[in-house]
Amino acid sequence: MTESLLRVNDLKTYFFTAEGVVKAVDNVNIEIKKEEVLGLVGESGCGKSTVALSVMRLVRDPGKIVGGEIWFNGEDLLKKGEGEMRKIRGAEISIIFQNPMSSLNPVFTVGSQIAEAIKLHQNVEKDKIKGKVAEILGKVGIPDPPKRMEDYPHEYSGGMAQRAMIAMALSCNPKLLIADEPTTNLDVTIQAQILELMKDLRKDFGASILLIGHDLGVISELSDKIAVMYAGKVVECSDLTGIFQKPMHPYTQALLESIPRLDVETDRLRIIPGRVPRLINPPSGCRFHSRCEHTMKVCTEKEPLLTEVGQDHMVACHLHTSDSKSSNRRR
Amino acid sequence: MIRMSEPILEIVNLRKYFPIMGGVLLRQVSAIHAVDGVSFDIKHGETLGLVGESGCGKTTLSRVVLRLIEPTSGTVRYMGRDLFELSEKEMRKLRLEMAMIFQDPYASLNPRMTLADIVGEPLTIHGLARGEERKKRIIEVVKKVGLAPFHMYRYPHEFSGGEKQRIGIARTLTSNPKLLVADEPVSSLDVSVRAQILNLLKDLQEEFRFTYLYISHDLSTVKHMCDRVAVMYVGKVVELAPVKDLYINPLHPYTEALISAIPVPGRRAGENRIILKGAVPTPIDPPPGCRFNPRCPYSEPICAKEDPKFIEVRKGHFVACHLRK
Amino acid sequence: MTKEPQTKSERETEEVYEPSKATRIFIVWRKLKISELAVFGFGIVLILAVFAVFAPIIAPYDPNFMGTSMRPPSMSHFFGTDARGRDMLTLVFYGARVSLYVGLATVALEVAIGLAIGMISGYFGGIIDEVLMRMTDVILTLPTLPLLIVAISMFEVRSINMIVLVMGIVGWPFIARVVRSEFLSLRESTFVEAARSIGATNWRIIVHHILPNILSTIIVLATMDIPWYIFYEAELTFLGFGDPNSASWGVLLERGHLYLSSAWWLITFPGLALLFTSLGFNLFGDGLRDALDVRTSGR
Repeated sequence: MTESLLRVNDLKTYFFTAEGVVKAVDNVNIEIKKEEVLGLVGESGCGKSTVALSVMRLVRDPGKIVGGEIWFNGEDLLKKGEGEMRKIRGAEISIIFQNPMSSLNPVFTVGSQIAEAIKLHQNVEKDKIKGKVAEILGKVGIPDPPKRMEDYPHEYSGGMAQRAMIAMALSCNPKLLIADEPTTNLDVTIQAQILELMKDLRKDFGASILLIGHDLGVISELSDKIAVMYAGKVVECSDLTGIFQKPMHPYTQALLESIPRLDVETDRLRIIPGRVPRLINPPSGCRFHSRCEHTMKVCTEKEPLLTEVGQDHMVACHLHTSDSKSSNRRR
Repeated sequence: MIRMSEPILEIVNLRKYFPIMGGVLLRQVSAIHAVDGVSFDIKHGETLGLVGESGCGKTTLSRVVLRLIEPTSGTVRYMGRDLFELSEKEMRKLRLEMAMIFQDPYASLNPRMTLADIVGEPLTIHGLARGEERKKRIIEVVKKVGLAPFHMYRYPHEFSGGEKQRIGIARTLTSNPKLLVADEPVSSLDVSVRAQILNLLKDLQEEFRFTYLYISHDLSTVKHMCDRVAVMYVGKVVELAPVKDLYINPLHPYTEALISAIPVPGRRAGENRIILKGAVPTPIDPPPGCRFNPRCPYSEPICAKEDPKFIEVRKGHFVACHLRK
Repeated sequence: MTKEPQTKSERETEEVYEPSKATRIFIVWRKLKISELAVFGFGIVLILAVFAVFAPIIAPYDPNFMGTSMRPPSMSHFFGTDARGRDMLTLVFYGARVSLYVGLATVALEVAIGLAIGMISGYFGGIIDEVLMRMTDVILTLPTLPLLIVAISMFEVRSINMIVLVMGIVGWPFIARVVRSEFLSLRESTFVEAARSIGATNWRIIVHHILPNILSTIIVLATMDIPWYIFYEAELTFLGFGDPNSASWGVLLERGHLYLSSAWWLITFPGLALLFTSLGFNLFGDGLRDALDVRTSGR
């Protein structure tokens, strides 16, 4: 059995705002094994991006990680100092964001920005750096790398800029790549290109990927396992078959039936009544109970814990976990 | 007399170019061919989808069709009347029958107007109802879109994204329109809210027999909502067909690639998925020949020379491609 | 059920919650209260207004009454007396009348002109816009105080109203610029496009959609301009270009500056009044900006 590369235990990241404490990430548990892709899926505001930033320790005021552990390669990242984290960022864990144009500095050439990452983390001789940059740009499918290296970000199209971001992220051979909505802003045909690219690179570089998004189709393309988040918590986690063919959490089920799909014909889509709760004063018990068809009394009082209910299939729902099972928490 | 067999909207050879100025004397140096010779009809009561990626011209087309932008050339006939021949006054009156639902619910509502003012504005502008009658009509429309009249005097920022979009829809209903242009009505909304709005649009169409021109880049939604679909690429319509035909049997190579590019939940893409090379071109001074030629996997010499004509190759199925005749 | 459910009772009822005009003002006030500084500023402005309006009633002495001259602050004369024996406290109260008038009148004038020109420029564009904007360029490039001095010098008669007029004419370009740029950007906004799509005329779009959104910016700018004009008038008077017959703080400063070392109270109190006025309007204007923004709910 492959060992874990990343294990997040009971992560709590709260935002201390003037209006109150926003419990953006509240007791989240996820695990990514070596060379595995975990898709973290949820609507806006569910906390998935905050999880990514927490792993990178890039959460800013008024946000703070207030609890839990983030085990990466055998060490708890939450116990590391800023200096140590800086060595890890870009070299061991890299991140790419949704909008490549805003992540690239417009006044430096693309090549120099990628070179910067290499210079910071690797011992490469100065005259060899340009070669490395060209090499990695070629790997991500940018035509004529020696020339395009000298271009500025605004001279790149959206798809190319995202490729450049991926190049920057992979330049130092990280063990974990975090991709936060990497294709959301791209056209459909370009998105397909980038997803193909990521599949190929995954094979070449052997990195694990934490893929974050709200589009279940995109997430399915790359992920081995999928974790569904709702209102700051993970509600279900399983492989593709588990999530799409045997979804157990009412939210997952409702979500799957509420999106228009190429492969399913419906007249009217299913609606999830109500609204996502505000995370300042989250409802007691299960956060989904006010919108759930199967709410029971216990749902309004006790929070369901993420429990293993099948082969590699975890759910946080009172429907599927009795009291005796809930003590069987993930180790 | 309205003959239901006649189309509600006829678009004939529509073009819209945006000039690009340059040089010291600020002359026109080139032009953006946003819409470059588009012709198709929309039938009464149908939902026609207009899909394409960025720069294809669908947004510009939607604005020209409602005459919110003046065309460069071409004709648009609404119920037989040539829109571009009408006077401003006549056009304004016609706007009661043609309405638009905008993509960004936040931006499409004046932040200083209450819900009641926003929804009632068509009544005010055209002098259709006053006082109590006006209030009654507003309440009626507000309830139709699923909002509570209780909140009638609140401001847009007090509503959620989905509710704001309902307000935008309510505004179009007030004047009893016949044709509604929906410009990406759900792409700015959260995934779980989209279903509500899509269902609402369908319910309203059933009740009022609207005709929709539904614009989107999301092919899954378009398949769910539309009867027929037109695919645009760099200013031209490359294929138009009933929805089932288009998705099961796409004829244009671009449509093929577009459909195969859509990620399906729960599935990995198959080996035969088509990946196009290169980026979506900008519509500035397009080269001669078929626009799709540089990226087309089936390209032939003729494709670089001649622009293919948009013709009906099967019943109801139109394509613009040299290879599918 | 396909429609978004609100609470059941809200949906069923035909009852409408209609906040009155008073409630809307209350909401603005509540938002203003959030910033303590803004409330502080508002308080100062309020006090100033009280001084100005009720000067004849609350002033301890008649402004022309001449008692012992050059008395330092004492129990009978809180701010001392001036060279002619007039009570400084009274003079400061009466000075508030003039200075406040100057501030408000000038701002009213500059907004009236600036709003009109900015809207015309934005609406017509083309050559009209070019010409008007060049005019604003010229005035904006020149330094204000020298410009005011030159302008004032062209007139033989020096009266407060003349000063107001000159300052208003020098001041409108800034407002016009802001109005024009807001106009142009609002014109491209989606809700204006939406209004056009339902058949609104240009006039309606300008008056109903664009103008209200511009006004809140302008109100804030105008409020923050008031202390500037009070100051300019004081400076002009100090330099000898003012209206010597008026009783503004500027006049008090001008009269008293020669006695800085011997009778410090002659300029200190008018000076402090000027300072607090400026502070008050600035803080208030700042808070007003947030309070008028419909987007913030103030909760």
